[in-house]
Amino acid sequence: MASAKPPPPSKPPASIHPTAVIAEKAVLSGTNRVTIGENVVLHPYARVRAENGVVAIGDNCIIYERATVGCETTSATGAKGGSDVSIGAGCVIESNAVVEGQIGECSELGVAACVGKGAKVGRYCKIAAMERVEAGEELEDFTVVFADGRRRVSRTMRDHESVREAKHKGQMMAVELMRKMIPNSAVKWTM
Amino acid sequence: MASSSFPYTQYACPCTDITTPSSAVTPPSGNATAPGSSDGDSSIDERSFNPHDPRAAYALLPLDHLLYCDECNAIKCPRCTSDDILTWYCPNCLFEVPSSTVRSDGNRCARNCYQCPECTALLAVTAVPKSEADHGTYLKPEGADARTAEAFLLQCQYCDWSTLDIDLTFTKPTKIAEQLAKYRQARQSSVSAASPDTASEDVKTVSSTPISHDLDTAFANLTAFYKTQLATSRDAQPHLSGPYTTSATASNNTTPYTSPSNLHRIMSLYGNNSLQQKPTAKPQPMREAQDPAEGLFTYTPTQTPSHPFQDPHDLLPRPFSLRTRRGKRCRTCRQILARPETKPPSLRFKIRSPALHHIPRLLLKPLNPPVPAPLPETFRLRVEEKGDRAASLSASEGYKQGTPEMYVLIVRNPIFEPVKITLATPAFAPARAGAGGAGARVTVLCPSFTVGAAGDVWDEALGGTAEGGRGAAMERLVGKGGEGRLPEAGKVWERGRSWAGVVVEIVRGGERSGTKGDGNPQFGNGDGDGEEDEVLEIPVFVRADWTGHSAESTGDGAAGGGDGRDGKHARQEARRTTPERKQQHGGEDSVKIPFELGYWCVLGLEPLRA
Repeated sequence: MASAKPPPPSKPPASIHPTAVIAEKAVLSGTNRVTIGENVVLHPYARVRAENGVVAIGDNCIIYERATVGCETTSATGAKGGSDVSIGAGCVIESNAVVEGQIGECSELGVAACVGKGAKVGRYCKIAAMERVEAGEELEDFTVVFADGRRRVSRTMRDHESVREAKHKGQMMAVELMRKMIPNSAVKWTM
Repeated sequence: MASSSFPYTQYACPCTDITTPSSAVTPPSGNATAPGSSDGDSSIDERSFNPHDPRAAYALLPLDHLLYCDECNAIKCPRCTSDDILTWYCPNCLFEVPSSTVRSDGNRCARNCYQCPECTALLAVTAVPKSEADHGTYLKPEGADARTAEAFLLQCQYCDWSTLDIDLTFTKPTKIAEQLAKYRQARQSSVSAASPDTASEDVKTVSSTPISHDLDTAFANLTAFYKTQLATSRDAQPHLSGPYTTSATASNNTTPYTSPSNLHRIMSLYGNNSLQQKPTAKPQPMREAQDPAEGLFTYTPTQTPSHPFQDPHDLLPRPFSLRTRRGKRCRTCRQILARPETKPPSLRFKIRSPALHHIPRLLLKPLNPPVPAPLPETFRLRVEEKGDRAASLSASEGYKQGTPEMYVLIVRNPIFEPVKITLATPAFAPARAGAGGAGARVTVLCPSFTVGAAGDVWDEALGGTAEGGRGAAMERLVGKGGEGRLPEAGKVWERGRSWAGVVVEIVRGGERSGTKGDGNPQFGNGDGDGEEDEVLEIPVFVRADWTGHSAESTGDGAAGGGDGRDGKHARQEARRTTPERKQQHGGEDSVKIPFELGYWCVLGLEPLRA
């Protein structure tokens, strides 16, 4: 407490869509480019780490408190782009989740779930709370990871267009609500 | 459990007979500190409980796992109580299901409580638009606008399974069970239509169909087989167990007189009573299924028996299985020991008689407790001298093999009468056989003393009695009381209103010189490595004597307690003293009845960190 405050972390070069909502306590750090799409909601204390690679967050994503998007360390292989993180449109990243890989659109990451480095998660996937997708793993579309590592393909989501449609609508409604509730301070990161 | 923290105390339930073992288990150790064994059955006190007996693990329980039957005056462990099922209820909706419904419909919730077949989470009823073209409505919870939605489904919020996975939607959000039953019937009929009558087919057809259908067929075959078996055995029954009026007809049968069953019947007719057993209700041995036509089903290595549902369509929502709420009864006298309230949401008990409230409780603590981390100056009550601190540190850490360790054994009395306590330990607490420990010599400095009656908590805190009470408490807090005092044989170390502490001296490893050859192979030659890891367990026999009022302490026990009941429990260690009780029997309510209770405890001490 008595010790001096550490210097503020460097602001990454960010391209933030004007409709995105970034709470004041959300943190963007690193030196690589951060791209944030339209209607994205970053809750307070959400972290976007661009220290080791670019981070791209698609449209209509919601990232909750204390979730981390981006790699804190470099990739093990050291290959360029190995530490890049991207999240597709319409994803939900619950609180305390960690994303260090690629996530397809409309997927959902439960509370404290973890997607390892270089992992590729498909579209409409669901990683239940506290589950892990190991580094380098690839999940096909509509996969559900649940119950301590069990995986299966959700036929409900795969075979029914209306269910996917409903998921979209629900996501849009959630985004609308969040936009009203969270004061926007995206200016802090664009200036 | 309780043994995770040291020192711990566990109590032996007298139901296991290892408290009264054959002499082969433990050699009777010299019991110098048991002067209370004067009432003719000193044999009990001479046999000592062996905490390292393989069966001791089943007898020893922490105090809060034990109940107490005040009718038998005995400790009751979970094995000497029987359960009464009071109600059935659904754990999800907490709806109480009458037992007749459980008997007729099985123990499943008949309301809309369903579990996900994939992950066992709760399934929620969700409304969906019937036609996929109509995107105007969203998935929404039941009842939001049920009129616009035309179809319903059960959906798991956790793993996203829904009845759409098995192409099933419901037409209304209620009476799911009926709709599910309809669906199941429709599927079964379609399955049986697809693969007609495999019952009389051979193995080939069975293995060609999917496993789940195999199982259905095999089950049907096996049921039919068992039915025919039962029918034949029932036919055969009269020859065995029929009354002898049928013997004439039996003789017409093919069964010869020399057949063992007939011989047995004749013997039992003419034999004396000792030979005559009860009419043969023994069922005929039945043959098991021998081939697939009879329902035999074997797995080949290619099939996976772990998950018989290979077709995802086999997964159906599972209704919640009901839970029971149970009361506990004493197995010997049927006295109710615990009876919870029947309403599922309530967690209270109507009747509960834990051992915690009925038997004196033992607590062992070091005489000089280890000093925790030094407090900051501002929080210290008194300034500690250096020597003081060093002394207490050495007491906590410096114990070695062969040096006496001092502990205070506190006996707390939950009974509302003063209790006379007699403690007895074997002079030598044996080590676990083969563990390399060396055991310990145990001396209770004051084995016999009285403990005051339990009372109001406020009485204890505020009452300024001679020894307990405020003054003593203050002294303990400030730390003046125990200082400079030496443990003395035959004297209670400290005392409160309803508790008393006596000093116990423990010498681990015994005497190295081995002057006391106990016949214990570990004695005196234990190796240093093994001893350190060994938890020391000291058996202690506690005997409590008190005088209780017949009316309040035993309830109706004084009026109804006959000799028969006491005779039944005469073998139990925890019992009433019958002769004394008889003398007092028949008096008024104010008549005092002596009670006596004896039980074994085991005190566990942590291993030395030498």
